[in-house]
Amino acid sequence: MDWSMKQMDEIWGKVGAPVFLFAKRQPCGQIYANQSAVLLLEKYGSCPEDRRSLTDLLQDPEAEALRRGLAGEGGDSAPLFCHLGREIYSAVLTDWGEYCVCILQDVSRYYQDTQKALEDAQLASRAKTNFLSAISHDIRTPMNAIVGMTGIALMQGEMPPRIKDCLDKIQIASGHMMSLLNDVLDMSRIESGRMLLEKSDVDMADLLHKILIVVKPQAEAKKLNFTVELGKMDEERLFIDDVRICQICNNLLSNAIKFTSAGGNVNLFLEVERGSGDGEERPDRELTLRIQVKDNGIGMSPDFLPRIFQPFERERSMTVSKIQGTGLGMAITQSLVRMMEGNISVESEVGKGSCFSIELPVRAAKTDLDRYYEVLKGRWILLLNDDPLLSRTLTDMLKTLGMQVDLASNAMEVVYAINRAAFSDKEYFAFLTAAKVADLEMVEFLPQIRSRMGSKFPILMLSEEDWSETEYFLTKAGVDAFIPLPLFLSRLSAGLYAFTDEGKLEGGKKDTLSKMDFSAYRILLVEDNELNREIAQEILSVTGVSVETAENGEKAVGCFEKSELFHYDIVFMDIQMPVMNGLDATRRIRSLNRPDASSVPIIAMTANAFLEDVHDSLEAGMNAHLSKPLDMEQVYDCLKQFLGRRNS
Amino acid sequence: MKQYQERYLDNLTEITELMTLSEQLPENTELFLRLRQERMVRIEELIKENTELLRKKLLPLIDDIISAPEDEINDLEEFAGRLLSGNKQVDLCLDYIVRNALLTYARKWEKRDMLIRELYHTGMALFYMQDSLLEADLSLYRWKVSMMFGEAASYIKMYDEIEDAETRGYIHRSMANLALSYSWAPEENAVKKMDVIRYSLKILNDPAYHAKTPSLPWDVFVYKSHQERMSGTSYLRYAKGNARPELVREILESSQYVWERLKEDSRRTGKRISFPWELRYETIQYHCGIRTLTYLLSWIETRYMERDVSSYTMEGIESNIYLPASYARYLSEDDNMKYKKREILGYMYRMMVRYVRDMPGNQLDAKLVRNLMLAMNTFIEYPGGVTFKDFLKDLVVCRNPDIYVTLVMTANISQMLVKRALEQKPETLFGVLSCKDTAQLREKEEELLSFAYEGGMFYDIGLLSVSGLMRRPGRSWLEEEQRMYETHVYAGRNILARCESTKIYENIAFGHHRNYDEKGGFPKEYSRADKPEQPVTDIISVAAFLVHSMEPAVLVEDRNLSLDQAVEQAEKKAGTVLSPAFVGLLPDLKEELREYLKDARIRAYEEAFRLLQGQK
Repeated sequence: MDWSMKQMDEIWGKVGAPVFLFAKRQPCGQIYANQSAVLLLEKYGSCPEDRRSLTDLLQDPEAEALRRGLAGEGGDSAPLFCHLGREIYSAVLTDWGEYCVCILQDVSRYYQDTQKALEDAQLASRAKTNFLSAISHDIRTPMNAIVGMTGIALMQGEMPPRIKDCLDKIQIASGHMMSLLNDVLDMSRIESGRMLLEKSDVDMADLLHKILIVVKPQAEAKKLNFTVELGKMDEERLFIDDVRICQICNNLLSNAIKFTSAGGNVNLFLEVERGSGDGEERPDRELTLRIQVKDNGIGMSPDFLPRIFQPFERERSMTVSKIQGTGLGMAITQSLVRMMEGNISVESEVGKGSCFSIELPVRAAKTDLDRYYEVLKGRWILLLNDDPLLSRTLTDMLKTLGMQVDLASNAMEVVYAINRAAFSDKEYFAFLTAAKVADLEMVEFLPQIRSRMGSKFPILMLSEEDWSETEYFLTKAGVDAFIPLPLFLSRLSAGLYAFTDEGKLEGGKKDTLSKMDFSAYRILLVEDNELNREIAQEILSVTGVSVETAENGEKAVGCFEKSELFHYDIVFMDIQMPVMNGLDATRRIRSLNRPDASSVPIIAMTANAFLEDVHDSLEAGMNAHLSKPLDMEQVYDCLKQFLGRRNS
Repeated sequence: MKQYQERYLDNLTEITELMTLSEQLPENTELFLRLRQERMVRIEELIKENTELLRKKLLPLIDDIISAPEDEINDLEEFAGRLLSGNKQVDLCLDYIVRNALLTYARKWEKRDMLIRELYHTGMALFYMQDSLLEADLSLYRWKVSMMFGEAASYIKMYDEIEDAETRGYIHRSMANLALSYSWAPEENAVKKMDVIRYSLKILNDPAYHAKTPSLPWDVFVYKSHQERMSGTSYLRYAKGNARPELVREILESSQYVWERLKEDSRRTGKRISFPWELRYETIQYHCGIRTLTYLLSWIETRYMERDVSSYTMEGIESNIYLPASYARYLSEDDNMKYKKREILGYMYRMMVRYVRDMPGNQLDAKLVRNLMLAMNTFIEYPGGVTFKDFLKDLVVCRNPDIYVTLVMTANISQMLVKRALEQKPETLFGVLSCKDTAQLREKEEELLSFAYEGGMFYDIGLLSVSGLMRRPGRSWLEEEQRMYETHVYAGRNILARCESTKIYENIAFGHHRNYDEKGGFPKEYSRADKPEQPVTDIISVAAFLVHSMEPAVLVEDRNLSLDQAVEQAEKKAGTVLSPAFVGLLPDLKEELREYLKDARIRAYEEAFRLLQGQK
């Protein structure tokens, strides 16, 4: 309906507030202003020349800032402000038939008060953060001392159980406090814009390793089923801030572990895929790093989910309240993800668990794969693995490196392959084996491979991250290097490359037998044969250990009896000796009334023995057997086994 | 050889003589046991002496093998050659230990010819060790056999550098023997075996090699390789009509080559071709599609009817026992035939039982025992026919009277324990034979007692596969022997699982050495869970423990204790090795046991001798 000016005036003329009417149809624009509105326009003679639409006025940047401050990112629901000179008007827009009515209300006072309140709040928040940050620094210094000294105290060896218990608890509590302080510090740095990303070339394998050494022990301590899954790895070397990404993963994983009961599952998924995800092609966004942390823990309620990334927010529930935490972890995580221009999302259901998903745009870094390919291509590798899936992955990776693969799933197939190669021109460059194969004792099988293929032939083993428990035995059995799982092409290729001539020139073959310093130790060598004694002394002296000798069991007992407590760290004892044999000497030593008599390791120097002899020597109190004549590797291994733990 | 080595071998010979039962079984069992006891005393002396000889002389030498002088090494090689000579196993495990040491010496000092030689001999020792695990179906040594022969054979690349003809001979023999490492688990390895033989024959038929080493017996090598290729029937059986044509051709070629040679030898000597070779030839014709199964079975039936039932020569034993065993093997390939020919096979089994029972002498002939084991491997059980259980009990187990006696005593003591448990602690037997309560147990008491008895008879049947170990080998055991001994539980399980009548005892055979607390014993994979017969297994473990504790030292586990001492030892092991519930019954049972043991061993030996004499 078309209204006349007179009609409009009758309706709006008496309204106290300034009212403008705009036509919706073309030509759009203001067609009516009531008296108050006219006065307003006259007062502020700087009315725009072309009398543009009010919406133009409402796009004044200052108003936008105020809208953001008051209404957040409320979008269409945010109030509109119109700045006219020093006055601020709130504009209400509403439809009126063919027209749009705009009523202005003077909110100058309100606006200024609100703005001041916002500034005060921000100031207070920064002040709080800075204060906490300052306090954190002051607290951290003595905390470092507490943590450090507690650690040193715990390393001191035997102590009363009660004291050890107290020290353990101090260590746990102080560790927790340190992590709280670190969180607060990080948050303050992020809020104040002082946190900067420090990107560098990082291998995904190393990144994962850093995450796992922190997280795996936590999961194991809680008896959780922790798994790592790798998706596509279009690139394994990325230009990223690995410290912050580790922090993100550790935050998510620690939470998952915290909020999942014993026996539950926590899974970490990593993937690097070509493409930025948003369809844009940019050099710094050529890849997408996907991280997903999933658990089947207590989950989160729908009410809490929207607040999860707020600082200091924790779900109010009996379960959660019993679990320690600041409530900053998620806020920090989200802030870091945003800094990296990524996004984070969460799905969760109470009682079923949660799943956090992160996507980060990253770019690839230069790798050495081309160099490795040039050196490794065409070489034959013999692979032993009875896991079909892993075998396929391995074979594909090795072929990517240009290598030729013979795959075996059991010992017979390995030997068959070796025999066949012996009758042809094929020469294996290396043997790569799983750590466990059904019905096969690796510590028995590998020495045979070693004997057959020679001391220079590389034997590599795929193994879980924590192979340290079995490294001693496997290295003794013949393993030259370990390739950790989950499998990365970079690790595999670097591991193989290290055994090429080029690789050896570059870095030297990795000496997996770490030579430790035994100069602080003393051995009693009991051997009646002079030549054997000399050989043994020479070998032992290379390790740095001090050697004292005795010609028979009786003299050995005498030496031990006369010595100070813990004078000897280990005894190497021949069995067959005149005057007193090794078994009797061992029994005598073990029966001595002194604390080191029962604890000193006594090693029999013989390998071939009847069952009853082995039984007799164990009954007599011996700890292990060595075969004669001694060789360097054997001696190192033995010293490492019995003295190494103390040394480290 | 050194004096101590000669002495050792002489002692072994004496021990074997002392342990061998005479051709005629004793009429007076008490006298037999007394004499046996005296022999045991002597055997113990010899065992102690041998153990000391090794401990003082041989093992220190092996410990220091790298610094051993040459004359010692030469003597050692000669000694090892006597320990295992051809297929005569005087002391197999010791031979392996010595050969391994010689191998270490050869590697250290880079003595190539010696290395090749010792690789071959070590491979042979391992081959026989692996062969003894056939029933157990385990592959403890298979890859090692392949490794040894493979490495020796790989020196073919350095043939021209090796001047010694004998060493070259070892290379060829190793190459041929590589096929042996694929003799077990034929399904998986059949094609590999054929590949290895093909390659070996290519070299053996190469005139260039003949010219280089004319002194080697090329003809023998070639012949033996063809013979080995004839064992490719296992591949043909596995391939079931889908065999690769080139492999079929190769097997046929080899069978024809060998057959022509056998015929020629037969013509020359006037002796008939031995039955196993005849059978192998015919089965290859069948597997290669030239003959049908019906023809093969008819051929076997015809040969069977030609047999001499009173002949106990090699040929007689083969046609009366090996032939039916082979017949059964081929019947089992075709369910239809298995059903159709049940009367014939049943007849063959009945005749076999009669044949064995009618054998004169002590019936411990090694050929007989070997063929009975073959028959056991292929046994087919028919309703109403000779059951596998009876076959084992009446014909097989008694072949080792010492083992038989311990089994009978264990079976009887197990019954006593079951009876006592029924009276005092019936709840400990719930689950056995599906009995859920005391009433059901009482209803099935006879069945329960029979189950315990037969379980006691069969629990150690796996020992038959390693019976060479069970008789003390003339010295204390080495670790390798313990390993091989432990495989008998697998063998026992596999034997008993074969047929319905014995299947219910397989878990008893498998689990009787596993500790009660599952923290020790063997095999590790045995679990007590979900085994309703577990209480009976526990009872048999207790009974067996007692029996072996009280036995004079005939078998390796024997300790020669008194009843009281044995019970005391059992009580120490209650809760860990043995079930406390059943060990707890022993104090009450002592008087009954004492009464039983007064003449238990005598009666058990009498029973064994009766069976050996063909009486039931």
